[in-house]
Amino acid sequence: MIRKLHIKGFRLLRDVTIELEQGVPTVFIGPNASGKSTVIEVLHFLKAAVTSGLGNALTAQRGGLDLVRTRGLARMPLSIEVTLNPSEGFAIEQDRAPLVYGFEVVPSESGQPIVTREWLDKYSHGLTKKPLNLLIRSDSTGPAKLKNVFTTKYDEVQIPSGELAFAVVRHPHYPTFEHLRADFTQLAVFPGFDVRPRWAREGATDDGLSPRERSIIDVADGLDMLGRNIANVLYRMREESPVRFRELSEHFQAEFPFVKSLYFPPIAGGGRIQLAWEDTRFPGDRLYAEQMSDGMLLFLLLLAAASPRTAKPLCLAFDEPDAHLHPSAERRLVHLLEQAAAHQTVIVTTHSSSLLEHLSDPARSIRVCRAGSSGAVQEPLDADRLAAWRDQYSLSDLRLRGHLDLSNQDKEEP
Amino acid sequence: MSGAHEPRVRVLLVWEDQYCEKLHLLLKRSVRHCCAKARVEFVRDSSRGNSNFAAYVQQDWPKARQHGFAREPKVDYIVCVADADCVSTVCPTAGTPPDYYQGAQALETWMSSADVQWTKTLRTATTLDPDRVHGRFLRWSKESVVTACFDVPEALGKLGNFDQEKLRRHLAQCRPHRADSSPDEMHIHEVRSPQSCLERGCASVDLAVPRKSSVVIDDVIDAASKTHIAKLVARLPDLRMLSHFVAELAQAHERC
Repeated sequence: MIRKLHIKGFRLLRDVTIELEQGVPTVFIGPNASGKSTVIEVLHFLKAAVTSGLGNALTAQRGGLDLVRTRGLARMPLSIEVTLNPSEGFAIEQDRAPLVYGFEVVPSESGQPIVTREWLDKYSHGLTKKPLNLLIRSDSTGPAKLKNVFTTKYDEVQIPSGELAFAVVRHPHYPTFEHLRADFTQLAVFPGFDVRPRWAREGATDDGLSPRERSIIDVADGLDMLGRNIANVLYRMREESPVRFRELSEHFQAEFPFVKSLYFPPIAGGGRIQLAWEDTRFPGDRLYAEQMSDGMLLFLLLLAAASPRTAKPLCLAFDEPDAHLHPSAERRLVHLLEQAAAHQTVIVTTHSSSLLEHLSDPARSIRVCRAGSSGAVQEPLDADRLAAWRDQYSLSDLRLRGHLDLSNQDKEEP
Repeated sequence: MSGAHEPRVRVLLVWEDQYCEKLHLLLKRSVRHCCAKARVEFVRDSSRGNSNFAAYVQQDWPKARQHGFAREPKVDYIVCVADADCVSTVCPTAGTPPDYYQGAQALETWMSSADVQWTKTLRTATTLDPDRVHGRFLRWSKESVVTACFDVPEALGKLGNFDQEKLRRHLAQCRPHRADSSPDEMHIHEVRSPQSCLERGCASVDLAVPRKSSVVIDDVIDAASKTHIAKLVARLPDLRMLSHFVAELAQAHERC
């Protein structure tokens, strides 16, 4: 579970510390351009840096470090620090002690990223005690110091100046790096599922793949970022975890009672399947994902993403998952997110007031984003003051009256 | 020719909980089960809180009676439905329920008088057709419906995966009465703290207790009322009485 993010110099997040709630989803609200989605992007950036390298994550995926860094302060480095409880993947309980990992990047003269500092600290007795420094890297040209678990001494290792240590170090002497890498690879970040029907994808410059199309059977059980492997994920869930598949189907049918069943007919040629469903209103007809409404397909994707999986990700993050959903489906979505939050960090951004209404503990869950001249900030709500107002007013009422987040038209003036 | 196009009596049911869809569906299924011939069309709304019924009758009932809703024509009757465990807030003049040891009959008598008292109170809130305004209590809450499903595994399964045998053993040890061996008509008298029964039941099978107005409680109510409405009606006599009451309203209206 991710407990805290400290981000400096990443787009609007000039210098923010975000405490993430454990046990409830953390829900970011606020006007457009207040830095909500940037929090999600930071998580994706971490994952991309691990899976495809820091340079690639910055340059190929985001257009270069200069486009990512906060504007206005020419030499401000980009820095990210994550405090987390490692996932169950850590075999030894001692290794599941809280970790703090961070790095700092500046551009070279040619614009390439250079890691100027990197650190990994383990806190075996809570975060207030003295850390055990597993990684110290304070000079991009010098070696990094890595704590060797066998000799208990520091090894000096040369790491390319543009890469993160834990992403490139592969050695049993440093097991924490491998686990951290595995955890960051498992970050489940969903910036928005592509539920556009075929007619709306016409002329799109993407590769044409969509959750509505056929899926190749493979071993990955996680949903990809756009949900394009939904048929494969659900097929594998049905085959390997029938109880989970039944629960997911029941949640789906509770919102869409006309769905009799979901199934996965093979496609001629082998190795590929399609998502199909039976509709009680049209008995005997086989309907395909292409014939689902945007809301239906989106809800199914959200169910697949939020369902407990064999490997629980460190964090589930959704950017505005409520688009296309009826308020009753939002209620069920919140229920599922709250269930998932019992085992992992769950982060959601939203503009939907009705989604907020369904939160069981809005004061703990909601973070209000606001962007001013000094960057974006994320503020929690005061539980007592909120409770006093909620006697008479719903969260939607309070929001309309400007007591939660401000609108884009509200100028921040002294 | 009789059928779907015949005019029906339109009854507005006002629930305290804004998540009232499944309770409303439960009542519809109960009316269909108990009084299949009743020609009633139901409209639902919520007072959004158990202290708002009088305000609803004062402000919203005249609009619903004279104009209907944006999507519905005007209604003929209004029946406000509240949990009997909130009676002190909803209708303080109804007094407190008799304690358990005074017996089931005393509780039935108190329920009838509470309904009458509440109806009187609600009628003072409006001058428009006050005789079409009614208040009814249901014992005790949504959780009562869940506890009444103790032997409907397909409904309780909506709470999560658990060992049914473990639950059976837990129910067998319940005191002062065993839910699984009490007659159906005594269920509501004996399970007077449904929330704590639910909590203890969930704890016995290592399930998380669903929070108030949770979507899974709605799922249990929906699943049970779909397949076991007879059992629910037998265990929740107020549901049966409310169903008959609504059917009688419809019949009386037709006679007029």
